[in-house]
Amino acid sequence: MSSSTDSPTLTTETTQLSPQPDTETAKPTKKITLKSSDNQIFEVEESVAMEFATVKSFFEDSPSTDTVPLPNVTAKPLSQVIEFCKEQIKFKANPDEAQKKKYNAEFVTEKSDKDLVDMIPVANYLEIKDLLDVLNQAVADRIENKSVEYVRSFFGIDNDFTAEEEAALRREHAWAYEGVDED
Amino acid sequence: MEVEELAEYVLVEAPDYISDLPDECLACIFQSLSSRNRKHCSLVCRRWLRVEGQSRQRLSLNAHSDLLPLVTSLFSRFDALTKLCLKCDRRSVSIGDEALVAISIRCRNLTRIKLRACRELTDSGMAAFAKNCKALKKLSCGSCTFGAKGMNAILDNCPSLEYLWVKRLQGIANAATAEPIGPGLAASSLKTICLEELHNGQCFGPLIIGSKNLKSLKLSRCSGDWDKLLQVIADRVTGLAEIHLERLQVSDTGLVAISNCLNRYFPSRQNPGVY
Repeated sequence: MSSSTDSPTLTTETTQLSPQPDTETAKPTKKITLKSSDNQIFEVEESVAMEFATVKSFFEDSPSTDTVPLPNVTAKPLSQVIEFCKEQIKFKANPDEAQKKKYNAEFVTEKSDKDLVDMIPVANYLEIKDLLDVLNQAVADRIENKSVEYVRSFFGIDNDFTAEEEAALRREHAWAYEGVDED
Repeated sequence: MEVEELAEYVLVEAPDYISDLPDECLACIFQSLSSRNRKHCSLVCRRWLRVEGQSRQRLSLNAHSDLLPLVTSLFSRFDALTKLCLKCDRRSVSIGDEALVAISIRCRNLTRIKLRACRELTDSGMAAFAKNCKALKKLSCGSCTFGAKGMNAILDNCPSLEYLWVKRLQGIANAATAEPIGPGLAASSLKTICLEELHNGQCFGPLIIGSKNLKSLKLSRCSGDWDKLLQVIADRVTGLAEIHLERLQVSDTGLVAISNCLNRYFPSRQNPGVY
């Protein structure tokens, strides 16, 4: 890229860029700035930010603020949550249950275990119910029908039961019926 | 070999990132799991045990008499249960009144209970249970041996009862000693009554007749003559939307009475009995 000030490509780009949003959407979309706990700035459209119940009520309480601090949220899961909500807004505008289901399934499938689990407290804090449901189910699916040992290593959790306690719990469990009376 | 590799990988790589998850999020994950998988998860660590126990609403237990010594620890762990199933196999000795009362003290918010082949439970156990679990909405009992007193205690103490299913209740089988059942407080809330394979099931008559808001009545394989009772039911229970009669001794008299009520729906009428 040249640094010349009279570059013809640059000027055409700017003239092309500015009218585009105006023709696509009649009114200019308002942007809202979110700041993660690790001081990263995210500019999102107002409609996306309003998907976050926490942000929405923040704005209702103090409408003049331009930056919403999110002290419990780090940048990586936040960017993924924003990505999800952007898509959900498209589905809100053009409802297509099959496509939405497909997108939601792909969204979680491609995420690592850590990414999935990291997004849950974020979705919980921002009160995004749809995402929370999707994430909970996805994590549940990944530990479904796995042994206790597998679940521990999956999440990197140390077993803090004594051998006696674990044996006692397993004896208690012998009393529980499985797969019946789910009505 | 594979397991070893996994364990090593985890030891080196995986941070314990789920420990940052708030309890309520963890509970939501558990809610997406089947009962069997919830059980596995409760063994993961102390925190998961606590969260799983506190967030569990439904539990099914083998109601063998040996359950009694475990009642305290089990039910202090599961302190938010609303649905409980106690099921004994036919050849075993079931839990007795002591266990049921101990359970009822710890599960005061129960809305549904299912009892199967709990033959050691008596009227007094059911009465104590009814006093402790007044929020009951659904009672389903099969192959139990308590009688009219126990059933009446439930009906008198549980003003929210909507659903009653009774199969093979041996305590009412003796017509000479059986007392009438109902109507009790529950009569105004009951929407569904199902009676199956009862001897002397007619003693539920006062309950059925008194249940002014009853929508659905199912009588199946209950011995004895039902004509008289059906006539009164047709006369008094005006809101019935569904009557299911199966293998019942009913003559034209009973059927005519029932059919005189308008807007009724008969899903099945198999009456090989006396015509």
